[in-house]
Amino acid sequence: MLSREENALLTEVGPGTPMGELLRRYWIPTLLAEELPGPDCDPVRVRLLHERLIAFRDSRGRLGLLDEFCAHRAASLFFGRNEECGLRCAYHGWKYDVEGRCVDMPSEPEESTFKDKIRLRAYPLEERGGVIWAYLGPPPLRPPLPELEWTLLPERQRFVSKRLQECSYAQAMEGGIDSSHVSTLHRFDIANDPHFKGSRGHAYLKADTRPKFEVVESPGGLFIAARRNVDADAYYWRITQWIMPWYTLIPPFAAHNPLGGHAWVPIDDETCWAWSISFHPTRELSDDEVAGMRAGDGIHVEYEPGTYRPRANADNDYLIDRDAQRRRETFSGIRGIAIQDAAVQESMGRVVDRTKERLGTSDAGIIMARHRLLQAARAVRDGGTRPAGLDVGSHRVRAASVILPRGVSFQVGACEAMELRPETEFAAV
Amino acid sequence: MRVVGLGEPARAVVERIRPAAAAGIEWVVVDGAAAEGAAALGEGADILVLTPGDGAGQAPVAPLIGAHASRQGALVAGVVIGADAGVAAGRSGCLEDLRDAVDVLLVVADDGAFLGYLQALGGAP
Repeated sequence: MLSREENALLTEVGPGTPMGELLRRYWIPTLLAEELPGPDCDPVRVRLLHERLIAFRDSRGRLGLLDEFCAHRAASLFFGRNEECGLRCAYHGWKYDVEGRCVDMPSEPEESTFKDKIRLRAYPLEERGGVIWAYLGPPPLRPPLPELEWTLLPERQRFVSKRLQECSYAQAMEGGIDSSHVSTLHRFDIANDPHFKGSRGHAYLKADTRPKFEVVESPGGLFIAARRNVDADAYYWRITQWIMPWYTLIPPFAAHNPLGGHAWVPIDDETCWAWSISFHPTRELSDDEVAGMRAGDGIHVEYEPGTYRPRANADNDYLIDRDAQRRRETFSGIRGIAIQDAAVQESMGRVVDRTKERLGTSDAGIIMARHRLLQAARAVRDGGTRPAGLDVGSHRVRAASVILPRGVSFQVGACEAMELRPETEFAAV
Repeated sequence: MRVVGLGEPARAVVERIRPAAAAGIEWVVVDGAAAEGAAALGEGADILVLTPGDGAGQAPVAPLIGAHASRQGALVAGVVIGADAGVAAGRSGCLEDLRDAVDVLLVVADDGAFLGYLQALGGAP
């Protein structure tokens, strides 16, 4: 449980809030690269951390992220013209470059220098790993771009999607941290998912639904290890990585399947983008795998046409199928791993009241992630230390699934497996 | 909730954290090796938190305490403190003792994280 004040501190992300200021210290996954495909393409509305922005790619291919509203009369630049190295407001023609400078003002006398005094709020955008990243923090504190494994792989070795999730980022992320629910919520169908199949791990998950947890603070976040019985001599370990402030890496099911990870990015206090990434460090994803991901297999979803909102959503009770639930095809009656997660997380309400929860031993990862985020937000508010997770060294980790002798701790036995060694196989059972 | 310090190294941790923790938490420090009284430590507790402090020592009594507490229906957690405790505890006998005793084992950087954990479990002042 958290106090009411702590819950607000964790979930309020607007400008000037402690958590909002903390999260602005990091590069933020903002758009899929495909959303700004080329020079002078359509501008895209962006909402991040309560800020309403507009992204565009100018005639020279440069990326810009500006205040959505024209400095003149506050018309939305979404309706503007992206042409000749700038975004021109459709109302009176004021035009802005990627730095937010007003470079043309046709509604005022030509000899006027008034335009030189006008500047829209502008943030840097960078492209890496199929994602366009934004930095909304103080310019002198801008960190290097993230170097999570999936961000550095060739395009054919990764698939990135995003979906709208209609609850607080913290609530969604806590689902990514909590690996004990896999034995329940995903119980009947995860072994059949084409992206998780063929792993001995499924048998261990089904046989031992009460894992023991070990949670260890890492330089960038947490190692969250769940231990299940194999036999009298060995344990099956699933080690999740949580990296500040919003990344999770999922323990794999067998090395022939892609690895998976998420980023949980606040749009505002009550909605977030759930980014989902499938990747393989040593091979290209097959056409069948990518087609399945586009169709909603694994950690991805099928969308409502023309949007990034899942087709199965709160308005249609996530297309729950009670017969499938009774037939034990799915535990919840909801199809798809990601939608099962979204359904339970959104069912708590937009911002869950954490003063009412009663946590147990299987929630230690969630408790410690909250603690680290709250501690870092307070430190930023008080002018304190550089937050964890900014150093790219802290990104060089892997999730893992391993079988170890009972007498060997996961920190020792899975030490190499948790370390990112580029272009090498990963440890998976 | 009951917090059990295992051995003398844990006493200092208990004395540091206790003043900032909820009044409702019971605190006990026991001999890390002696079995006397181990069976009673879990009685009436919903959650039993075992800590050896920095994890440098041994806590051979931990599995016995944990086993009794589990039979009595308590959830059992272990907490090891120290910035380098992750690696250190991974190689120490203390971790082995605790791992067999608990439902969850946490290795945290500092007292604040330990206190945060207790508060999250319902031990807020």
